[in-house]
Amino acid sequence: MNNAVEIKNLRKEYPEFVLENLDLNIPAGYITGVIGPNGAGKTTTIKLIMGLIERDKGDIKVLGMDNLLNEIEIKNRVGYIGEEQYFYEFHSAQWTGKFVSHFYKNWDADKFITLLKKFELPPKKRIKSYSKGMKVKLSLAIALSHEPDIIILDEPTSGLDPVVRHDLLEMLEDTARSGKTVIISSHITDDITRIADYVAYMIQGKISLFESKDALLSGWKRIHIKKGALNTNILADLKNVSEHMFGITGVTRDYLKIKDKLSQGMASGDIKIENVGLDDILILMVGEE
Amino acid sequence: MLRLIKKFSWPFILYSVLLTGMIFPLFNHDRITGPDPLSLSFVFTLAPYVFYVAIGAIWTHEQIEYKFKGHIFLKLLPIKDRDIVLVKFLLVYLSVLIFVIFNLIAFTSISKDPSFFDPSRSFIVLNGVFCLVFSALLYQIIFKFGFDKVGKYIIIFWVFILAAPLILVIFVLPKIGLTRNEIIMFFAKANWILMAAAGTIIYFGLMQLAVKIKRTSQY
Repeated sequence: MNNAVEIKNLRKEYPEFVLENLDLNIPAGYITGVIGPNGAGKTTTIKLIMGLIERDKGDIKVLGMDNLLNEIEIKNRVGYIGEEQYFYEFHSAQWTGKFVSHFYKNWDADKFITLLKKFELPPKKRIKSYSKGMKVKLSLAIALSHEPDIIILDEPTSGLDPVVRHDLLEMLEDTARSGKTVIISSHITDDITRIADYVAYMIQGKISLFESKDALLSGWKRIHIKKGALNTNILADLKNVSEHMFGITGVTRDYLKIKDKLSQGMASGDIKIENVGLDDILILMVGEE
Repeated sequence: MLRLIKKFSWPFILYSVLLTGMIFPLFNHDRITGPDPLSLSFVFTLAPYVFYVAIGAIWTHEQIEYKFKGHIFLKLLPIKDRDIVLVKFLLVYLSVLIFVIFNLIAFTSISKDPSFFDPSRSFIVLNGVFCLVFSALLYQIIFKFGFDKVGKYIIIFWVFILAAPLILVIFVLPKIGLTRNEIIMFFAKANWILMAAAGTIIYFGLMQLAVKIKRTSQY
């Protein structure tokens, strides 16, 4: 599998936060969601990938190229949408499109106009009068109009209303279907659950887990065992075990591996299996750290 | 790069036009009074206005960039930091050059008498050189710390520019025992070509340093 982004041994230190020995490979042609609590280092990592801040140590390769040595080529091939959108707001979307078109090698002016229409963005109105959702859409229109191979989004949906969020996620799915790589960082796990192929959990400046979403959701299960039906063999495979008046509850990371051990209890109704969501996994992992 | 020049140039044009326009009345000064000691005082008063052209334009431009986070917007585009710095430095250089040339033409029109023209020319060029070096250092500070941290000190700069000539004439020069004639003689003998060349070299040298600062900074 080709990697769109390869990060090795990355380090970035701030007075109150350290991103330490970060290794991460993002597969090309898929949607990868980066999940983590606030302050985990998601935005820092994305800014480092984009070359917006300088790393202290390590390597970052984007599309096989060093991100600092090939900064211009990479910015031509990567579309970036941050949490905050920055424009010359006293100008219009039309002016902005014309301005940025001079810097991108593959700028498609027709596509930009089409996207403005599709997103219902008035091209001649000052950006200052746009809502937050409209600004995100304008960023997306710019990002898509220079034909990028990778689109990186840092918390793009926070603060957006459900309709705009839905539209944005749909656009990203379409983008990934056309063979492009999408990297989306968010703490809204519903968004990641809906569109991601791979999920990276980032906690305290490190990648704690990277797996395909399907493997994650089929491997992580919450197991409820009735009092009296507890088998010590099973207990060893469970984490985050809690005892209550009906029995015990724990979480396994390898449901498929222990499925056989559980089958008898499941058949008798002594053991119940419950799906966990990506946010449950995050909470469990943060608790483990 | 042309697009960047077009985007960045308006404050530089505005300040150049406004302050160069102030020199216009001097073109007719000789017709009214002829060259006299007052003409030289005009030179010594107006030449430092080059600081207003450059610093005023830099300040206005950086303030707007800061307000709309233009530096972040540009950083996301495939533009080399070097090009952004180069355009900013070029615009300052051209503004200063235009103001200095206009000053020289204005005062040439008053008198070609070497006792007036030679010290005037050197003083105007020296002001241009100091202004360039100051602008280069100012850009380095803005690139390093961001306009938000530097901008609040602007008032100190404007007061200093207004007060410095008065402080110099009233307090400093009498203390070190320099007379007006001695100062004029110093400027009459100064090599203005050397000053202009050295100023340009230092300015573009400082530009290289500014590129390095900009590359490692988020501003």
